[in-house]
Amino acid sequence: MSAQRLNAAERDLEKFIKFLVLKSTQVVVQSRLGEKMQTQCNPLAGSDWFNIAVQDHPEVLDETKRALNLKTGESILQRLPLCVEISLKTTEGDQMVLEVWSLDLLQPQNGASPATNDLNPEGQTLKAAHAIYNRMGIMLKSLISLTRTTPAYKLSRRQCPDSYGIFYRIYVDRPQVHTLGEGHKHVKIGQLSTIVGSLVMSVAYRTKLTISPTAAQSESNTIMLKSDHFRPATDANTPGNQQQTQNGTVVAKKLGLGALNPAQGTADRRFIDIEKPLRPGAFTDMGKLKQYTEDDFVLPETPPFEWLLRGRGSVESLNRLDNNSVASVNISNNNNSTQDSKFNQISNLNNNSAGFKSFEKNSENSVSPIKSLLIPASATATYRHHSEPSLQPPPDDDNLLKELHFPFASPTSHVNDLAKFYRECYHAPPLKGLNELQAEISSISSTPPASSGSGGVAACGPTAAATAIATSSADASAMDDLSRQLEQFETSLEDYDKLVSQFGLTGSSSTGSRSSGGLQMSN
Amino acid sequence: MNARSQVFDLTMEGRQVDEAVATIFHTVLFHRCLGKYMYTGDAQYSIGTVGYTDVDCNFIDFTYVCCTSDSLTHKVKRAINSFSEKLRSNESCGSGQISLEFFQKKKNRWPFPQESIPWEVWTVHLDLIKHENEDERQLCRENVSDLLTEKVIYITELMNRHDYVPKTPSQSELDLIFDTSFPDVQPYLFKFDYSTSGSAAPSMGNAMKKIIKETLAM
Repeated sequence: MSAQRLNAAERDLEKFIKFLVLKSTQVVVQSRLGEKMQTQCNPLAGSDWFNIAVQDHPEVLDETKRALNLKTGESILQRLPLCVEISLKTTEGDQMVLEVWSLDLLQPQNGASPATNDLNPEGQTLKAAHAIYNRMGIMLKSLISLTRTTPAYKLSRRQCPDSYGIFYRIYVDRPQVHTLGEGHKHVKIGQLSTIVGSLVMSVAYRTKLTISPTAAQSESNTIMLKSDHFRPATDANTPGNQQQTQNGTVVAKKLGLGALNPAQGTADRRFIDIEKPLRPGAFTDMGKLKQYTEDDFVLPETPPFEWLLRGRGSVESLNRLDNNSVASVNISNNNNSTQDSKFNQISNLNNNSAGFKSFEKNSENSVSPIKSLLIPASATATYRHHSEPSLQPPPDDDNLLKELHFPFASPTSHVNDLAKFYRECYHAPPLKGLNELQAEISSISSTPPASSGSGGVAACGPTAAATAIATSSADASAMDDLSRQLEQFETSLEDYDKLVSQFGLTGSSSTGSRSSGGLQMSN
Repeated sequence: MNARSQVFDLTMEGRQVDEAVATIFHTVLFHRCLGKYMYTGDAQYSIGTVGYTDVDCNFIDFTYVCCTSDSLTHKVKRAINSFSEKLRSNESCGSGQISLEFFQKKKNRWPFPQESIPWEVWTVHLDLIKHENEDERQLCRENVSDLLTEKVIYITELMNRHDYVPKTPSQSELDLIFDTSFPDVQPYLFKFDYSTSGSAAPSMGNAMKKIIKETLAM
């Protein structure tokens, strides 16, 4: 009998607890709908559990039963603790858990209950059931009052679709209070000791509501993580989707590679671009350098070619020793070029007179003894004529060239004698040239007297000289010849020095040239 | 004889007194109200259902729950208003207290009167202050709200203890335990009592007057 009663009492307790759970979830969720609640009293006997007018919201009831997931004949005691989580969610999708209400059943202590039951089974059973039922009612009333005191109630009353909404979640597990943040509060609403255990109703709620901005940021990150997790979940569900997503990822990778390839291409192009300007730059620099080098080669080459081709290319080809003399001659020519243009004109006249000199040389050779006798008389004349030898280098050069054309000089003395003879013959032309110049002057002086008086004054000088010459035709001719020979010797002194230096290089030829020079001077 | 007694000390503006006291008293009464008893026999009865209503305070950021019973609400409101008017009048020094007392009657043979035995007393002691500007007043609203939250939590903790409550009597003796004058709810027998610091000090004369009044009332 007592066993049956105990079983009946346990069944009643399980029933009471089950409906306490259902009504508790209703109370919590309805208090967060954002509306003021009002339920009516009913004096007549009703079917309301715990004599409290808590109307059932169908959705909440279904959610609670789904969370409990009670099977046929299964006891609700094994499905506790039951929790109701209230969270806030903004229109931007940020979430924040506000509070967690929980109803838990702690395991009973076996010692006390049997004793109390043994003392007075009937009274204890009835009293216990009645007392438990009444106290469950009080606990439910406390829950109703407390749901209006936590911060979430105020937030729920002010919720609107434009800003944020309050959501609930019912689950069977230990309360997840870690989501409430630091500084959350925990309140035990009530505790009821029964033969099947101690019922404990409690709430933990967040106190720092200002954390929402940072929470939002972190939640946004979590949302991103969720989006990442969503794909593998779909992959796991369906192989086809897996393949598609893999292809997608592969495509993404390919796209990435493509993106990289253009980058590399651009990099290569950039390298090419770097090379291209370098190459043209190098090319231009090379071109410029080459051009400079070409210019450098051209500048020094033209003068030597010009001078050698114009004057003495053949001479260089024949004898290298003469190059020095040629170089010296060139230098002297340059010096002449630096001199006044008048001297250049005079040099031209000398060149013109060179032809005449060649014709008159023979006559001079025949008159040579007479010239030697007249030397002291024409001393002043010789000084005057010294200025002119500087204007005669080109003809001397021609003479030297002609001498060199005779290869017979080196082998035998006869050739040397011939060379001496030719040298003596070559000395004649400058004297004749001078005479010709004087003749030209006299001709010019003759023309002015006829034109004007000033011309007559100019004619006095040359006329006096002419008259002096006319007084003694034979003596005058002899004097002129001697003076001419002296002038020739004086003008040829430099040539003699050069010949001595040239012959000095070769022993026999040098001695010969010196002896010949001395004999001529003595004569 | 040895009644449980709880005292709450509050400090606030005058216009917040009514709502603060109502919050505490209605929370207590919500827990101490039962549905109407319907007896089918002398020892057999059924209990009716109690509804509840949310009430928003005007001068405090708080919402409390009370029984859906106009008659009960009016009775509580009348008592609190009397106390508030006296507390805020010039005669008062700005402090006072009001009590909600639960009692049961003890039946005695004639000629002795019925004796009221309190078994639970809830007292709210109030000190009035005045705020200079609106900022302080706004802070006071929030502070009073937090304070009332603590009081309500404390009340629920006490209510859920395994403490003494009178047993349900038979039909003939129901009036000794419950107040059956309300048509929709059946609270335990309760009464209000208040005093302000401006009142005369208690004396034998006052005590005798109270005893005589109670006897005559009975």
